[in-house]
Amino acid sequence: MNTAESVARVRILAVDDERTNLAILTRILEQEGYEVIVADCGEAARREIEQALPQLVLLDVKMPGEDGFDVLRSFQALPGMRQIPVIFLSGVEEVSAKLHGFSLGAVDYIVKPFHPGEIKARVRLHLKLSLATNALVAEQARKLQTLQEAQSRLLIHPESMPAAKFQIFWQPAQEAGGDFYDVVESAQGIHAYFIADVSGHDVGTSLVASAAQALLRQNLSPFYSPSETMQLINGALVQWLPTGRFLSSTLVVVNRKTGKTTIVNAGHLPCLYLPHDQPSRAVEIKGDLMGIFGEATFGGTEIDTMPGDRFILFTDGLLELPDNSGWEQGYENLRQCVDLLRDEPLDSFVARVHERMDNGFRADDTLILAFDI
Amino acid sequence: MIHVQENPESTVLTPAGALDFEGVRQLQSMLAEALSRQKEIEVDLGQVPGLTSSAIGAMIAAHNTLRKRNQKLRIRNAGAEVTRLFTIMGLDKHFEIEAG
Repeated sequence: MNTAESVARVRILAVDDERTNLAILTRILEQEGYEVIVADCGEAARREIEQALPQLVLLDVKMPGEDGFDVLRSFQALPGMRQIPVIFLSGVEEVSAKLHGFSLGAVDYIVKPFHPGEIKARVRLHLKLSLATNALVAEQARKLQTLQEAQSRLLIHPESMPAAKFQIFWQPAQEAGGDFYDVVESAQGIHAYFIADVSGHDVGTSLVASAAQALLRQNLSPFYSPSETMQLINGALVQWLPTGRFLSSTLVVVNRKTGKTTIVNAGHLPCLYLPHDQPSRAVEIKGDLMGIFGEATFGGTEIDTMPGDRFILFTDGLLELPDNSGWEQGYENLRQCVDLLRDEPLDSFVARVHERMDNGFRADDTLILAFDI
Repeated sequence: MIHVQENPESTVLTPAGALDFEGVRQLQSMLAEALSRQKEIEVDLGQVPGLTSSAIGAMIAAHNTLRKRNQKLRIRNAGAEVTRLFTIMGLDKHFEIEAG
């Protein structure tokens, strides 16, 4: 691709209620080889964003009806808009107005009357930055193609940690699955078991899963309570995750020396606790989903456990249809199934549970993590 | 298929049928459109069998945008099972949920 071709493809949207300004901006930018599309109000701008897919937006602040700030706010709800740089144009020179513009996500603020050279230079700069960012993202996406392979390599096998007494059944339904687990010896004789389900099914899902797993390992420490560990992971995810993406999870920390088992939940289906001498029961704990709310809280409970007790953690793919309809019946079926198979050795338990629960209509990942105290 | 009703104070979206991949895409785009109208948003779940995590994610994203404007996302006609799912996910604290 030569330079002329790449410039010719760059499309810029100019939004201003003054037709004269639009004409001036069009002339300046077309001289540079850009394709310019114009809109004289917020509604027309939103239409052009979706139809013409511009690479950059010049947006006037002072317009009748919706002003530029309102228009930028409304842009943010449009799919893909976060990647498009927006530069404000305004006759208002006050710092507070500029800061307001930046706080809304604008990349720059040009004060009118503008000089053609300034417009050209700033547009060029932000297109360069945007292209560099997109290239970086594309590079990361390319690397992610091998992520599923990498992910399965990262998942710990029960044989490599016999003291943790766990077994796994995992059947990813998608190329880029959102379910994952981890088992970590967080201190001498203390094991942490983590299961999570990332929303969505695309490459981003796998990336989030890997990041969350890395965060878990960074934040598991005898100095933090399990709830604090979840808070720390959430704090990082809130800053990092794209809007609308979240994960539900359960963390169980077992101290086999004291018999204390702590369970913390983050919006995940309750895990099952199967005491060695009683029927199974759901461990219901309130907790927020991770990655959405900075002020999230993660409830926890502590159980005095005995050798021979068993915990079963799982993701919703085990229960029912992918849209969660009928999940309560699925949950009850699972509970009964766990009771029925209570004498099954751990080695064969997870596979037998899956076998009994499999209804042949599995469109979601299925993950079961069971461990004995 | 998502039906849209414009009220003076709110936009009501009523999806009908399963919110599969295409349904969620449509829901995301209609939520985005509704957000641009600067009104509150109600999602009527009376005609959907269940909710995928992606559909829930789309509603959370809309809620977060509304929250910045001191507005709310209201869920109407949520079935018992969906209501219980929202409770487990802690979303009952954030959405205004009206059971069906």
